[in-house]
Amino acid sequence: MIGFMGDVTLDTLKPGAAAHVVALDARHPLRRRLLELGFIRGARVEVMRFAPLGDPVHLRLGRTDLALRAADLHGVTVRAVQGGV
Amino acid sequence: MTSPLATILGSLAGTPRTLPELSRSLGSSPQALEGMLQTLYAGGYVQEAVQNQGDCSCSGCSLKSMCRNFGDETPEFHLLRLTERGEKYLNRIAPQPVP
Amino acid sequence: MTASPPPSPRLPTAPRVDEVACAATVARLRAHREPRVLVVGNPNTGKSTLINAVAGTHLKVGNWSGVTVEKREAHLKRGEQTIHLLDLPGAYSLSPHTPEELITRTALLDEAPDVLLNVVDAGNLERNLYLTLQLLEFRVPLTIALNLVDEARNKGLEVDAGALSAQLGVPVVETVGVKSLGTAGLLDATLSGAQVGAVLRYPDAIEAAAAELEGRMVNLSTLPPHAHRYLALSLLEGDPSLRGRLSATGHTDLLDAADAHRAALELAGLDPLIEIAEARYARAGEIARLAVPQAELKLTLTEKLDKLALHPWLGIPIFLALVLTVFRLTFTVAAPFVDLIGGPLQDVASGWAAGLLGWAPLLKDIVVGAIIPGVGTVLSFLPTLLVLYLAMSFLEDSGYMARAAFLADRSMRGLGLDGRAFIPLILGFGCNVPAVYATRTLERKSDRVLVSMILPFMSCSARLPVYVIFSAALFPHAGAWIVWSMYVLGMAVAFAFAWVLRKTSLPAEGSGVLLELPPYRFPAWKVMWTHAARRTASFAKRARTTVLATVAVVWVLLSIPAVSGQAFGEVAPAQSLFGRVSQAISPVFAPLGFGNWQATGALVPGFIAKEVVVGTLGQIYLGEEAKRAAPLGFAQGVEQTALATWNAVKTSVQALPTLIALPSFGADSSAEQKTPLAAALARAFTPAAGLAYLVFVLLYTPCVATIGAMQAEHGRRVAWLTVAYEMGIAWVAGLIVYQIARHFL
Repeated sequence: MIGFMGDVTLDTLKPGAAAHVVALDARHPLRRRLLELGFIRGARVEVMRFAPLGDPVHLRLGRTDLALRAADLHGVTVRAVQGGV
Repeated sequence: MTSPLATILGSLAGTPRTLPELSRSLGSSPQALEGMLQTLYAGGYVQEAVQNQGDCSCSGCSLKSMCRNFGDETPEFHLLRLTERGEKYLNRIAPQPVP
Repeated sequence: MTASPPPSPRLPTAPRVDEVACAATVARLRAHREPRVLVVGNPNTGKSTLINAVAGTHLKVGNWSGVTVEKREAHLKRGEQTIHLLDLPGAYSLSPHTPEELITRTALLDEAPDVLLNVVDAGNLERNLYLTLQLLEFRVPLTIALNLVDEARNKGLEVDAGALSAQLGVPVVETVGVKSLGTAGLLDATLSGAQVGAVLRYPDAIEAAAAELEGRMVNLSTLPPHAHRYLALSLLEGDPSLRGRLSATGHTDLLDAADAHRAALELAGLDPLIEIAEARYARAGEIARLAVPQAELKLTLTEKLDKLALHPWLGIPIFLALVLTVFRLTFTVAAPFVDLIGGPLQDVASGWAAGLLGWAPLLKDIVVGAIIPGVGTVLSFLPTLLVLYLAMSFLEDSGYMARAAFLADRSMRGLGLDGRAFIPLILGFGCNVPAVYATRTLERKSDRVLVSMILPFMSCSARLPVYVIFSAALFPHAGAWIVWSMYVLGMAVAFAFAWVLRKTSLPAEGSGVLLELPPYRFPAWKVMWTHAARRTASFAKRARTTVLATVAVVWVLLSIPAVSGQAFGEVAPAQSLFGRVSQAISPVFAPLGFGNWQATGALVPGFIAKEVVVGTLGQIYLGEEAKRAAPLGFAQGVEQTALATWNAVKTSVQALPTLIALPSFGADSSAEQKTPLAAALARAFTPAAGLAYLVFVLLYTPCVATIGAMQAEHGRRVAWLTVAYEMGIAWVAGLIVYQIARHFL
C-alpha cells in the first residue's frame, strides 16, 4: 500500500484538510508518543490551524487535539480523505 | 474515540498516568474511563505502575502543598502503566514503519 | 428548578431485530399471569429510591441466600394482574467483579425474567450504557428508566430520550425517583411497550464464533434460551466465574469449544475480551454523544475558543492581556485587604500585645517591634497571593496553559527550547521551587538545566509583596503597570540569559516536539479553591517558620549595639550590629540609587526568602515606631477591627467594576491611604531609586529553597553558578535602570 499515488506527508496539508494515517517513519523521534496518542493506521487526522508564527501545527486526531512542528510532520505519511480537502 | 480501549492503551505507552490525567488528555469523564480501565486491568493489559506499599504516598512528599494530584479523589487506580501484554497489543495495531 | 412533567415514552424507530422472536416473547408476556420484572442498574443510579416510589409499601426486604447483600422484591397488583418485581444489586457490568454483580448476573440467568427494567443515570450515560448493551444481549424485552434527569440538568446535561430510544431500540422513560416523577407510567411502559432492543454487532470473527457456540446451546435444554447470546459472548471473553459454573453443571464440551474459538481468535491476533469490550465501549460512547448533544457542544466551544485564543494575530495579545488582567485582579480585589492586615489589624495586634506584655519590656520589644511588623507585613500579602493562585489555578485547570505553550513554541525555538518549556516558566510566577521540579517534564538534560537557570528571573509570588508595597509608596497611580513591567523585565532578562547560555555553554540538541491541547473546561470552584488555598497556606506556613526565624535573628542583630555604652535592645537601628554591617555594604549600591543602609540591610535576609525583604523593611522602618505602640483595650480593638474590615470589603467590591474597564490601568485602591510602611518608604526612596531597588530584588538571587531544588536536580555547580551570574546581572540591570530613570522620574 505504501507508495500509493495519493499518499503525502502530513506537513504538506493546509488548515482544514483531513487525512488518514498510512505510515509512520520508523526513525521518527516521536514515534512512540505518536502511537500513544492514537496515530495508528487508519486514524483520521485533521489540520486545524498553524500557530501565529506559522509553526507548530494544531492537529485533531480523532477527538484529541495536539500540536506538532512541521518538521515532525514530515515523517508521517497520510492519504487525503476523499473530498476532505 | 472510535476505539476507546486502544486509545487508552496508547496513552499509557511509555508514560504511566493516573485516571485524572487520562481523563484530561482524552477528554472523557473519569466515570466513563473507570469501567474501561477495569476491563483492561481484568484482561491483564494494564497494571499499577507503583505497587502500593503503604509508605509510598503523597503524605511523605515535601512538595505536596504545591502538587496538583495530591488530595484529589483517585481511590481505585493510582498510577497505571502497560503490561507486556498491553505493549504487544499496541504494537500489533500500530502503523507499519516505513522501510 | 422547575420539574417538568415527564414525556410519555417515545417508541423507537430503529429497525426491530429478530421480529419473530420478539413477537413470540410479547405474546408470551401477555399470556403470562404474573410477569417477572427484573430491575437492573449501575450502583448510585437512584435505583432503590425509584423502586420505592414504584412499589411503595409492597416492598419486602430480605437477603440473597448465602450473602449479606440486600434482596428487595415486591408483588404489585395492576388490575387483575400480579407483577413480580425483583430489584437486583447494583452492577457496572455482567462480567462480575463484585458479589453484587455476580448476584445480578445469576439472577438474569436463573430468575426467568419476562422483562428487564434498566435504571440509567442520566448524568453519567456513557458509563451506564455499557451495562445496558450487555443487557440487550439477553433476548428479553427491556425498558430504560432514565433516572436522575434533574441532577443531570443541574450539571448542564440534557439527555435526548428520543435519540437514546432510537439508538437502543427500546422505550426510554424519564424519571426522577426522589420526586416520584415519571414513576406512574414506568410500569405501564415496562410491561406494554417492552421490546427486545437493537443488538450490537461485533467483528465478524467474533460473531462467527458466537454463532457457532449458540448453535451448540440450542441442543442443551439446561441453558435458558434467552441467555444464549450472552453466554456465548461471555465464554469467548473467558469469564472465569461463568466457566466455573458451567463446568460444575457438566458443560465441558461447550467450554472446550469456547476455548478452541478463543485460541483460534488469539492466533488471528484478536483478543476476544478486548474486541468485545472495545465494541461495547465504542458504541456506548457513540450513543452517549448522540443522546447528549452538550458533550459535542463542549467540543465546538473548545473550537470556538481556540479560534480566538490561537488566532494568528490575536492569540499573543490575548495572552498578554490575560496575564495583565491577573495582575490587575490581584491589585483591585486584594489590595484593600492587604491594607487592612498591614494597617489597622497590625495596629490592633500591637496595641493588645503592648497591653498584655507591659510587664516584660524585652519580650514586648521583640513581639511589638519585630514579630508583629515583620511577620505581619508578610502575612498581609496573603490576600494578594490567594487571588494570584486562584487566577493561576483557573488558567491551568481551564486548559489555557497548554495553549500558551502552543503560542510560545515558535519563539522558544530561537533558544532551542519548545513550548513546553514555557510552562515551568509560567509556574515560576507562582513559586520557583516547584517550577524547578517541573523542568523534569522536558526530555533533554541541557533543556532542563537551561530552563532551571533562567527560572529565578521569573518573578515568583514572594517578590510580589515588594513590588506592591513600593508601587503603593512611590507610584500609587501606576501600580499594576509597575508590577506588570517587573514580570515582563524578568522574562526579557530570562530569555536574553538563555540565549547567551545557548551560545556559550549549553548548545541545543535533538528534535521532536509534541504538545497536547486538552478541551477547555470551566474549572470546578472547589478544586480551584483547594489548590489556591493549599498554596496560600504553604506561604502562611513559611511566614510562621522561615520568616519568623529570620525576623527574630534580624531583631537580635538590630538589638546588639555596635557602639560602646549602649545596652542590648536599647540601641538605635543605625548603631546596631545589623545597621553597621549594612552600612559597610551599602556603598556598593550607591550607583543604583539606594545606598542607604536600611535598603541594603533588607536585601540580606531576602536571600532566605524574598518576602522577608518587606518583613525586614517593616522591622527597620516601623520597629522603632511600633515599640512605642500604646496599649489598646480589648473592646476598642474589636471595634477598630470590625470597622476596618467592613471598609476593606466595601473598597474591594467597589473596585471590581473598574476591572471591566480594560484600558484604565490606574485603578488602585491603595492610592489614597498609605500603610505606615508605604509612607516610610515614600520618604526614604526617590522614585528612580525605588524602581532600581525593585529591579534588583527581581533579579538578584534565587531564594534558598530554589537553590536547594536546583542543587537536587542539577548539582551544586549549576546552582551556585546561577546565584553568581544573577547577582552580577541584577547589579548591572539596577544600575542601568537607575541611571536612566533618574532623568525622567
